Amino acid sequence: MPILQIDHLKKYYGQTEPVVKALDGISLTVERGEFVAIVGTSGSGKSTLLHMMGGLDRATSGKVFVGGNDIFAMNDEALTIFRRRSIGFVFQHYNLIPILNVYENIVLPIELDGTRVDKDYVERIIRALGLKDKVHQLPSRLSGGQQQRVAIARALATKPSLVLADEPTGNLDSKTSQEVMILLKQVSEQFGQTIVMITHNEDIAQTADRIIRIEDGKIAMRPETSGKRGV
Amino acid sequence: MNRHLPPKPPRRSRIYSIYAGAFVLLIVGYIGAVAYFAGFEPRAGWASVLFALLLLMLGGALVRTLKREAADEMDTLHSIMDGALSGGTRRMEYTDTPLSSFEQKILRYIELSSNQEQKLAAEQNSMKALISDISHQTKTPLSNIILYSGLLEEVPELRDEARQYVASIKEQSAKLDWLIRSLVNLSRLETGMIAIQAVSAPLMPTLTRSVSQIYGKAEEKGIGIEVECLPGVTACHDPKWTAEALFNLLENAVKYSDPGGSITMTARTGEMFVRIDIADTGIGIEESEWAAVFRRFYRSPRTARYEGVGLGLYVTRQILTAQGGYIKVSSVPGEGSVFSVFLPVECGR
Repeated sequence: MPILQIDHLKKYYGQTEPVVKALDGISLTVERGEFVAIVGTSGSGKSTLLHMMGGLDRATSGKVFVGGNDIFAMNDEALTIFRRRSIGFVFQHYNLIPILNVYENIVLPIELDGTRVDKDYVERIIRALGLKDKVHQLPSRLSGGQQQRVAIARALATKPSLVLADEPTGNLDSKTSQEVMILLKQVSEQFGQTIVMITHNEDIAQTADRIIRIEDGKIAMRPETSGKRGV
Repeated sequence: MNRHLPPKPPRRSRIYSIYAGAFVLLIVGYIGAVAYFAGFEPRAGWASVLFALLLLMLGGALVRTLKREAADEMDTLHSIMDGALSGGTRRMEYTDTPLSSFEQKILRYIELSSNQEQKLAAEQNSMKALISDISHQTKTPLSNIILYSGLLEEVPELRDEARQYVASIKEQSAKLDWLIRSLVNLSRLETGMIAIQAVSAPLMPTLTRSVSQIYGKAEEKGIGIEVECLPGVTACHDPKWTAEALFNLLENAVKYSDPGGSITMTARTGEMFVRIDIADTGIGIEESEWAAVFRRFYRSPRTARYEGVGLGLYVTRQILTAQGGYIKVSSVPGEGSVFSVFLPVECGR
């Protein structure tokens, strides 16, 4: 069973003509452990698509299944809880809490869920992301790249089914972007984590196992040397 | 597909408040009755109040203990599931409790579902073992072929035609020898027979080592190699194997460049990784092939006229990922390629 399945997803804005078609019938599947990049120019609908996958927004028609669960069939409360437990988010602006130190930021989603922190696991993530000697620092004292690594650790800490990354390197210089991408790729392999990332940067997307291109709310057909990259 | 249990908590909290109400009513009623029969005696009144208070406190304490117990059980459950999620490790002692038998069931389930994966892995391993066996078994006969064709070449009364045949035999066996040696190396790497020991070490000696191995070949073709690396740069790597990986890249750079080209090797330290760029002025790689070139036995159709079997880059990538590194390529066809090697700055990740 694919971890993520999207069926004929449509999102239209406006009731009367001209209707803005942000997404116009998108179908795709992502297998467990895959690292997928969704590439498109701004306005192509890629952000809308990511929001749909994360249940942050509801579609006009079509369905999204995460781990077999039809997420649009849930009510708002169930969806919120589901999102907190099953989906990890990495944003362009890191969204770290400035008054909490690195460790507290990483375990925050676990504590919000009221469950106990799996210390072994969190420690492994921290080590894999090279944050071991930064855990007691406040986010404001870290570089952009380090902050984004903390955000990645936070997204992974809850052992989600799916990590959604929204332009994760949008605020970083190209050198740091490259490093963050390599780390993302490595943790995806090491922890068997499924990652879907959106970006407008083709070069950044090269690190992913598979690249999906979105144009005008549709998947652009281009013969892609698909299959898992580098196996 | 999946059957959901009905949500219970709201109803249960109502039952709890009914219990609490009944409890308080009972006490108040009892005290009222006692007060009535005792004729509203003040002393009996105080005793009743004390009695009621103590009873309430006891009840409260009992509820708290029960709650804590439930919370502890939940904690253990979470811990069991964490253990299960991270690959089926046991978190509890064997005890005669429902939780312990629950853990047993969970682990059993994981065992069953991982069976299939193990079968696949076993099949893969037997394939690898086969490759390894074949390569080892062919080594000796092949060295003999090389040896005897060398001896045959030295026979003075050989005709020119025969000499040409011998030369072909020698050339082809040398090719085969190279292929088998790479396969042996590869199978050793993949089966973990060669342990890669990554340590924090200066990078310059490693770069020098790889360049010195290719220098002769490059000079023959008139290709200059330039190395840029600050003396203080260190990275977490296995010097011997990393030099081997870099050598593979340099060898390709020389092979796919026209005479008179140039190769530059640049090392720069970043936040997490040291990046080593190897840029050449060779034939380049189409974008659609950037990922494919690292696959085992992949050969670009454009390299048909060059020698090779498509193992070099695969081995290189294996060596680099084994030490927490990464490799990528970017290229402009016809102008050259840049292979970028990333090695962790610090060990212990």
